Amino acid sequence: MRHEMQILDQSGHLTFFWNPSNQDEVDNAEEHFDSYKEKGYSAFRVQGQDQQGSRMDTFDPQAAKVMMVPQLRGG
Amino acid sequence: MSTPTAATMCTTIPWGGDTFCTTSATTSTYTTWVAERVFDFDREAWPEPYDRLPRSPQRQLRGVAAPAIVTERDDAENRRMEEGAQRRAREIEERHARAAEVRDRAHALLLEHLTPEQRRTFEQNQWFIVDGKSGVKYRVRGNSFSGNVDVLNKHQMTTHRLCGHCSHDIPLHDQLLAQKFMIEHAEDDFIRIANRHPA
Repeated sequence: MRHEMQILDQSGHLTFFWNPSNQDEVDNAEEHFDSYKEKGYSAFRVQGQDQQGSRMDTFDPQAAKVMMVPQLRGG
Repeated sequence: MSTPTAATMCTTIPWGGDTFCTTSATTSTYTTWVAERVFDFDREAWPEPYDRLPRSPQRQLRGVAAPAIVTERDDAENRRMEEGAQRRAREIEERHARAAEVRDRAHALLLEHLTPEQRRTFEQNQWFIVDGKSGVKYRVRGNSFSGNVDVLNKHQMTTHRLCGHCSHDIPLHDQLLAQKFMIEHAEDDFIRIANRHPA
């Protein structure tokens, strides 16, 4: 079963997949997660039929879907 | 106006008792003529062949003429310029196609993350209502990502607006999605970051 991470960027969004039972893929996904968090992105776990979310501060390989949102600024 | 075959020539043309000197430079692809003359535009008409020279507004001033440049191109140069124009047009078309694809992807992702009610109001009215954890309702309008979040009171009236968004290169619908996630799950952060504007 593939879990996915969607990252909002200039291209619309990027998508990374990982298999929670494959440690290499989990490590790779965690690396992406951490790198985007360092850039100021906020992470949300997306779940449910309506694709609603909850905030994530650390990577959870069991999260079926993660949404990475760029840093917001006042306008 | 004939095209000289030599490298650089100077042709002297008699006109109205004065002489008028034109110089030209020929390259392998085009010939450029430069006319130099002081004209009194109120009293003098452009003599042939100089009536074909382009006239800028500055050159309508009395008594002063700016140099006029006429460029004649040969077939090879014309072809090269046409190919360049076609290449530029293709690049523009490709850029527009890529932008449309990005826009469509972002739009689809936003719709995927809206509730049925949010999707309905967004498709009908280009806005959707988001509930903050504090119980406050926010209307996220889809016409812009700037100043597009209305804070609503219990009567659904706008009390003020909030402006908080990602950098400008993020597509509009991704911006709306980011605002939705922040309001729903990081409301305090969103309020702290966003600038407040009157309704």
